[in-house]
Amino acid sequence: MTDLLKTKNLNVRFKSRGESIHAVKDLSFRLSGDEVLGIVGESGSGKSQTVLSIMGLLESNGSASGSAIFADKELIGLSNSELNQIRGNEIAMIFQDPMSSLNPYITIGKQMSGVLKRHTKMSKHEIKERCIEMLDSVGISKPHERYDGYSFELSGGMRQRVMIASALLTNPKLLIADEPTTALDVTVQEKILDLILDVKDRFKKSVIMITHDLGVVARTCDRVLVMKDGELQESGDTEAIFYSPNAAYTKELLEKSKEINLDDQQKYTERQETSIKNSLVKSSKAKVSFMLPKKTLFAANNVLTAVNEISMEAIDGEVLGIVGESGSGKSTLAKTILGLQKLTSGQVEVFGEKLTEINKKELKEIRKKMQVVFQDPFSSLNPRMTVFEILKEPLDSFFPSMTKESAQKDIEDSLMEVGLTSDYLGRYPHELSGGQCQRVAIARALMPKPQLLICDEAVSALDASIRGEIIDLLLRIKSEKKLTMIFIAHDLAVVRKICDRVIVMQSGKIVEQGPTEKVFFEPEKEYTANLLSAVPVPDPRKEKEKYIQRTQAD
Amino acid sequence: MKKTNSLLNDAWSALSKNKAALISAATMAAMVFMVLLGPIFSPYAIDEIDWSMIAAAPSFSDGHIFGTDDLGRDLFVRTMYGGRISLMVGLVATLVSVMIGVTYGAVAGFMGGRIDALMMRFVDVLYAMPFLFFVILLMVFFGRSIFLIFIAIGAVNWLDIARIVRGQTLNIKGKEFVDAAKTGGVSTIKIIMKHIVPNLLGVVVVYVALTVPQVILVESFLSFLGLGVQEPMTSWGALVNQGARQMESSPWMLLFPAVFLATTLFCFNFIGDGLRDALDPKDRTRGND
Repeated sequence: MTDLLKTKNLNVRFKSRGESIHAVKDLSFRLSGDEVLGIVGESGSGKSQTVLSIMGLLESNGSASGSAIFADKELIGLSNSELNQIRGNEIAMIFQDPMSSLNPYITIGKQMSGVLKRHTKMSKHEIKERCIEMLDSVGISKPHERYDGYSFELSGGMRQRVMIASALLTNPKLLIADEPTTALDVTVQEKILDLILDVKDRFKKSVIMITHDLGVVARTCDRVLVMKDGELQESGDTEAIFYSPNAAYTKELLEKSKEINLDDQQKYTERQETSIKNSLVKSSKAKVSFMLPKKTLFAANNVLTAVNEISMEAIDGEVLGIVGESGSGKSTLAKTILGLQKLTSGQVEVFGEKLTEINKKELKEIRKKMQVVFQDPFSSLNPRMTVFEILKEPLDSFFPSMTKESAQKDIEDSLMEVGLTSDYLGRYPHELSGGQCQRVAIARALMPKPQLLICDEAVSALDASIRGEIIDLLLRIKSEKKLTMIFIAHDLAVVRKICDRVIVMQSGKIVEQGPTEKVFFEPEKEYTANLLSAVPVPDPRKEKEKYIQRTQAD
Repeated sequence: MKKTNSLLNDAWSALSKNKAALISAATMAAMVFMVLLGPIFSPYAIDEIDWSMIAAAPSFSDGHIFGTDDLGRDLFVRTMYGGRISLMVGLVATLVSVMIGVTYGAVAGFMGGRIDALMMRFVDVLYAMPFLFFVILLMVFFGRSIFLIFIAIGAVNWLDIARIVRGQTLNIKGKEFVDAAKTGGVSTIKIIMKHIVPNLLGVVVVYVALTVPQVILVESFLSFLGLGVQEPMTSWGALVNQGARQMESSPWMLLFPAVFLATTLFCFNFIGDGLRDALDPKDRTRGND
């Protein structure tokens, strides 16, 4: 079979502040027609830059050299207008964030037809027909109405469907998907990945799938390239890479992803049953609802109930996981426990105090025992404060009588505890990497020596290997300090690894709760079972079985 | 220990690469210096009338290097004194309005809900007052005075800043570090002063640089209408006003104050542009894992 795309010694370099960064080093690979090629690597591995260089979409300070031959045409060195003939027409791209790749001011129909107007000589009517046909073929219901609608009326999964539909409009030979499902919930991710495979079979396309998630690779790809620091580590058939990897880095990646593999029946930590069950947090019929803006002056109040009569408790010494898809109300629940969000009705007791009945001073006393780590490491640190100032702040407010020397010592100790040296004290958050920022955020949460730590998606924004480090850090701190943790996440594998007990939430309600092993291996509710099977596992054979089951069920 | 580059250091290094902004800053500094020290070196006083030299053209021999006005007063001294007033109005009125506006906007944005709505409706009411009418009313009640101009301009300008700051605050309030500070037991006032206001700095600094020339122009406009400073004190606006009337017979009366005024406006605009670029967080260095 002839190669659709063939690169030889592809190099990408960036110039930034006088330094030259070699982002992709001597990369050679080939892609035949009608296959799915996966490119795996962590952020900074050069996987996205590789395809951007092929598309001629590098930032202005980047340059590509070497050769990339697509359908007998050399792409490197083509002028912009020549590339425009190929981009969109023969190669189409699907990006990670469907929110920002669709313009909210223009109707979906207008955005889609723009591509056709540029590349074909179809009449207006034909263009519309074609767009609606494509929308229909990617599984969008009522395509006629959607054609005149706007992107903000759609959910994330629907937007990604629209992106796929517009990528297919010109009938390109190659589809490049750059982390197409990273921003989506697992059940939506499953549907989108199935759609990409389905489209590939129906329309006979080649697909390049860029991802950091080995599960996604196992589910979708025929062949894989593993990249690290711009260099190719290994390439080969998916099964060969997964079952008999050669490169050390591939083994490491697989090991890490297996560590939190859902299918593994082995228990990771010995769960100890504590005899004394002392609940630190207890909510009874807690309800939080928000008023939505009225559409017209006399319309009835629109109420969104984010947390709907939830009764739960967190027991001293346990790690309680709260899982659910976006919009399930899990973060709102956390904010309510922290006293950052007012209850609409019901009651939450924290350390035996009823949250609706305490004053500011008492709330401050409770917060001393209860701290939080947030999701986004960059927005959870004030960019105008140094690490020292950030860590000192809780000390100032909780222990105003503390001497300077002992504060300094406390700060250095806690920084050491999270694996950073005192060199970092004078730095600002923008000089730290995501993982380092998250360590600082954890150190800040530990400053008042709390008994309860709430982690709100604390590791979701991090790369896989750093995520592992932070999870290990959290577990170590938890056992050293005998903390109770409430761990909120949408990533089931992480929850599976560290939690003793799990609560599964859906649209503000508890679907199921119980010990982790029980919920994960003998789920009682269908919702939980679906959620679990939607997680892609880094095992191509199992994934294939699941795919066949799913397609036969339809 | 690695040398840290704070945001301000970063901004400074970016600003120092911006030639237009640097030259403007240097020119401004020179102009302030001149305005403050210039009159000392001139033999003439601001209200001293030279009866033999009515509307005389500039000449070095008699010491009237900018010429004299139609009352025989030395134009160099008058331009320098006028500059003091104009720059002072620009800086003081801006400073006052920034202080009021930032506090007001940050409080309104941070408190949210009913307090926010009330505070912003009050701003709307003040917005609805016609500016000139307001100034004339002040003049009628209190008589003409330079302080009234500060008050009038400040009273109008802080409304803009309050609105901008409120919008930014709403944005910053949603950031997780504010929630983290709340759980860290930090009081509301401290959150506003330590977490909200410093992060408004970028917007405010730029706004200040663009407001100073605007305020100077408003003062000129008031002086032009005869509502501004009182004789024998003067300002660039007042001088331009007088000069414009004698434009045909003695053009230097318009030329010198106008050049100073225009240069100042130019400089502040360039400095503002430079600051906006320098404080843009787009290209910041980030560490590696």
